[in-house]
Amino acid sequence: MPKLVVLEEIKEGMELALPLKNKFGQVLLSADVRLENKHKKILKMWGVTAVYIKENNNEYKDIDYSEETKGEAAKLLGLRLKWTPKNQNEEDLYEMALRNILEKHF
Amino acid sequence: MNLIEKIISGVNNLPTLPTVYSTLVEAVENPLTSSDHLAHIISSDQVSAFKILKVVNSPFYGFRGKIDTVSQAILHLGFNEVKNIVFALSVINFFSEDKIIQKFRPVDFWAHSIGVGIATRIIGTVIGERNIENYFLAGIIHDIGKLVFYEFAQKDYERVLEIVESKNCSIKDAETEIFGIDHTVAGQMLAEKWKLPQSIQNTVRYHHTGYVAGSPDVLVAAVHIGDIIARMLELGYPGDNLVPEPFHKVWEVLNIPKGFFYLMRKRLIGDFTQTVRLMLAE
Repeated sequence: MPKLVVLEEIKEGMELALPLKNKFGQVLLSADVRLENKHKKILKMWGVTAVYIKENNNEYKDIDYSEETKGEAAKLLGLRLKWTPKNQNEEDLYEMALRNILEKHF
Repeated sequence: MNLIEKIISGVNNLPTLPTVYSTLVEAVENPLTSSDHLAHIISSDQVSAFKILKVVNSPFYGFRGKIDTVSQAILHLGFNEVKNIVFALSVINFFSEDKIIQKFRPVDFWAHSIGVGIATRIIGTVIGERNIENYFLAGIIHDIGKLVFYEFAQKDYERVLEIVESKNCSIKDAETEIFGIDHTVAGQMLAEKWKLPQSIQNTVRYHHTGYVAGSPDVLVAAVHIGDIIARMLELGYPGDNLVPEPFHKVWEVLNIPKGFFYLMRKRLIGDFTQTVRLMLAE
């Protein structure tokens, strides 16, 4: 689960959860990079104010549900969502919504 | 007077922007104004200043209880972001008075709007947008046109909500059926009246299409997806339960990393719960 951390609170050893990109989509630092003090200085120079770091916390572990339960959740979602995901971002959105229904209603 | 004329007349007779916000905008236009003076203007309204400090210290902004004064808030978040929070809080206050439609309470409307604001700002952060100070505000006021109907044609808006329920259609379609225009058009009238920045006016007008009159726009695209996320996660209530399909071209504009939405869900819901509590508390 990524956590947004402001530059001042970055500590050595924290790992980037997502690639850091500039506004043109160019990757400045890849995901999984272990941050060191030198990175903090570089981030400051680039004008980066916050980054997403990995957070190891059991609270965020996802529960597994049976295929049957997932099917019921998909039916519930289908009452409100009438389209089919057509790319990776839309599949990701769909999975997010499905997981939300599972945790809220089952 | 027909319904559209009634709404246009209502918007024209609305008061101008809230006083503290207008004073702030005037002050910032003066090159001699210092940030201390701006902080003083905001602090002149103790209740607003207190609420602003609560909002900027929420986990959503990542500072967690370290900002004690309005001056510090300006220093950390920048004047525009603080000014936008002042504006958002004023508009929420302005439109949460006594008028209640049972099927669509202002508190649920604002909760949805705050959900869109949070999702939009998180998208702005992850795509590396440097100027994200308008993202939260753009999300919060994207549906402001619904409040125009709510304020000036309450009985007719109750009919809109009945149509949504009976036909299971979008509120946008039901508004067009009753008024001949939808909330994006009504919202733009208000945004123009209040002379909001063009970027914000565009999000009010085009958040359903994701593009500005056929042209890509990052902020509009972010609000478009922010709205879909808030609907998917059932954050507040926007007047109907449907989740619209994203406009396919917005993905090229936003360039969002794979798996981002699924990963961000709990963080977003956590930020939403706390921010709603802080912004909508009396």
